[in-house]
Amino acid sequence: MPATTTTREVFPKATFSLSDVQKQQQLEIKAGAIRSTIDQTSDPQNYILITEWNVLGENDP
Amino acid sequence: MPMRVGIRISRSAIDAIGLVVACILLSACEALSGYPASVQDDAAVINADQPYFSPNVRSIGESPSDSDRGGLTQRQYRDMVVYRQLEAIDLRYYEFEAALTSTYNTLDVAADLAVLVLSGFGATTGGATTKAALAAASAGIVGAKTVVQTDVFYQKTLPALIVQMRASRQAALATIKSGLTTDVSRYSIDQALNDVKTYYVGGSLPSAISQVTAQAGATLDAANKKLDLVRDAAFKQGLEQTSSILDRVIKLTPAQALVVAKLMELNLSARSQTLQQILKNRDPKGKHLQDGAIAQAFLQQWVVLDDRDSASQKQWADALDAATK
Repeated sequence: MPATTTTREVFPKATFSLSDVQKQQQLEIKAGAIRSTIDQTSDPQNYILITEWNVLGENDP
Repeated sequence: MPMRVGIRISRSAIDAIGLVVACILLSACEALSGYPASVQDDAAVINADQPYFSPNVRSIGESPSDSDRGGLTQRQYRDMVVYRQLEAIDLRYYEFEAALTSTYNTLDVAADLAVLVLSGFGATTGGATTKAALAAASAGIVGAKTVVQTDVFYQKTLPALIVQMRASRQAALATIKSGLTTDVSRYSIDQALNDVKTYYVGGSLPSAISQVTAQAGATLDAANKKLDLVRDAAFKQGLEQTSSILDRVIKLTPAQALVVAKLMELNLSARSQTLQQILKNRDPKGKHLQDGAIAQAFLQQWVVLDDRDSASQKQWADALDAATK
């Protein structure tokens, strides 16, 4: 299984709508992310965008 | 006429196997727990403490009449009950801890001794059949020992769990001792006995595992939060321009991507520590400065996660212009 790394971005709900966060999510998928999810509930103040990326150069000797 | 099939084993081999059995039995009798034997009759002490574990100690402790407590005040009685319970719990705890450590040590030492004896005899005595039998027995013990040694619980986690149990007991004991310095109006026998129960539970494996797991989870959460990128209004404003920069990066050839990566590398140290760490996690071997395809993938992530102030976006535009002119 290839190694992955995860990023977490905090979007304050006072500034960002869910649609704003979804646009960022699409951008990250376009940029090569493996998968991305938006956590809308665990933090009442913020949306959390959690994105998984493959680790680069992993198959090199 | 029926045939008898069997292996003839020499007297020396039988002696060797006898010695092995003796090693294991000796080791089993003399468990190397690392704890000295108790200097008192623990069972007798615990037996003498039993009245202080009686269900009615709470009601006796709260009785307004000292005569119900053999002339002791409520505070004196509370302290007596607590210290006698602590004494019994401590004795049982030390037995428990010694048994935990000796379980592994006994098996390990017995297996070591047995392997040495069998291997030695196998190499130096008897004919081919005897050697084969001894070698097989030795291999069996090595296999059994491997099972024991790969027991991660005993080898790796037990010391940590013992430290956690001691720490939990010490924390509970501090609470109890602090409470006992005050009067029963502030620290009743009920509260004290509840804390004694916490002290007892603190010295158990389930409690230690739970504590260690909770601490590991808290550490992971803290580590994750350190790598959180917190977005602000400026980030929101720069979405469109970032999208167009990303399109330009995706269209780069590998050679052009390498040029952009090298130019942008000069600006990386000015980015937040969090972003620098994220990019390092993505390319731990630093291949984005050597391989065009890796450079392109690295840049694509950097663009979408990057700060969106005008200075950062100009750096991207300048680097892309330089690579594609």
